[in-house]
Amino acid sequence: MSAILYTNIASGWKLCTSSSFSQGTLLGVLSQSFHTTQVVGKVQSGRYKITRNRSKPLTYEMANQPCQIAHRKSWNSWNTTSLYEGQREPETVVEDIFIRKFMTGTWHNLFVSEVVIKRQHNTIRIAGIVQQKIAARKMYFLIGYCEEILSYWLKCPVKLELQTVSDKTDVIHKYI
Amino acid sequence: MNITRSLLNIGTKQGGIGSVFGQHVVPRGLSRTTPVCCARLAENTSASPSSGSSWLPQTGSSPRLFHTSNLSYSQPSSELTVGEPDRLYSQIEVECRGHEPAVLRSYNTFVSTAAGHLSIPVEDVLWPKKHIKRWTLLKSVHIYKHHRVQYEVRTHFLVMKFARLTGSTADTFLDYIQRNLPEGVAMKVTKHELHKLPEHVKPSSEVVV
Repeated sequence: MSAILYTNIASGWKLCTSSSFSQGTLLGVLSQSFHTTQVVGKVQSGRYKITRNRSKPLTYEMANQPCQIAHRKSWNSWNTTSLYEGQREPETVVEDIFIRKFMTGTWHNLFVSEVVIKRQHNTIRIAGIVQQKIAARKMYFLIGYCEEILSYWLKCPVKLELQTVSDKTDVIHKYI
Repeated sequence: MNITRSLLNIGTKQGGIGSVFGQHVVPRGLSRTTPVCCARLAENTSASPSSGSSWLPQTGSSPRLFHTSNLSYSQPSSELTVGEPDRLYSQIEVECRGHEPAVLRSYNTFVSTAAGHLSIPVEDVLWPKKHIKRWTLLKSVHIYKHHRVQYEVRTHFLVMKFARLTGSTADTFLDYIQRNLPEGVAMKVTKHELHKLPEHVKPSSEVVV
């Protein structure tokens, strides 16, 4: 028996029926067989599963799925690399990955939002929301340290534009 | 708060581009300005062509009398000394590219307003057709050739044409425009400059006027 598959290319869900393997009989009479389904290749990126008791907190960004980008969400990286005749796309992507790892690693458990990276001319502006868990003097040191070392690493001026939040629950949008 | 911080940052980080607004000096190195500063810009740019016209020598070659020393913290693209005539542009074409038409529209209002304040004639504003790049990939890592995923990237264009500018006005205006270019928007500037015909190019003696 063959499985019937229907795929909508744009949204990407599949409707499938199972196929059963039989060990040799043509009549399909109950014999040693096991059920398999086709690969259910549904899109599951950026989507969070609900919990029984609604205990998982989600920020606004996490609550909106990737299909909502440009509708209810915007991007985390702003640059001109993917425009028509834009240059330096792969290097910029790798730099962004490095910056994000660096920021989340330097500010230990302090970021409560995504790291937003904006490129204007040759400057890089890094934005995000940070918790007020450490003293303000330590924050100033970390800001200066990050700006200095990233500008040496990436060879261009780097500016940090951080906003702080006293309570982590301020950025929670909903619980699922 | 944010604006003052970035003012300080621009001053220190980018090699000390100060705003030197002197009498005989081409206005260079603007700090991040708001529309309030447009009036100041207008006053200075209107000052420089008029004072430029008073420098213009009668003949092409006149001795340089003195050199103003407060000219450069930064090196302007057209370094003018006293006695040198300003460049003239018949047209400056600014092409902006972005992913979002709303951003380009708002940038267009900003640029048109700035040009209006500086009395720069906006000859034309064009919106060329968007460019869409599409490509199709296999959805699955392994086999399943009949199931694919399609992506597309759209680039929107905005072309603004400004006519009859002098070099100093053009430098100031473009500097201001580019400092306030939003992230994710690219700009290409095409300048059409006017030059005098070289000395050796003369009308032929056979030409009947």
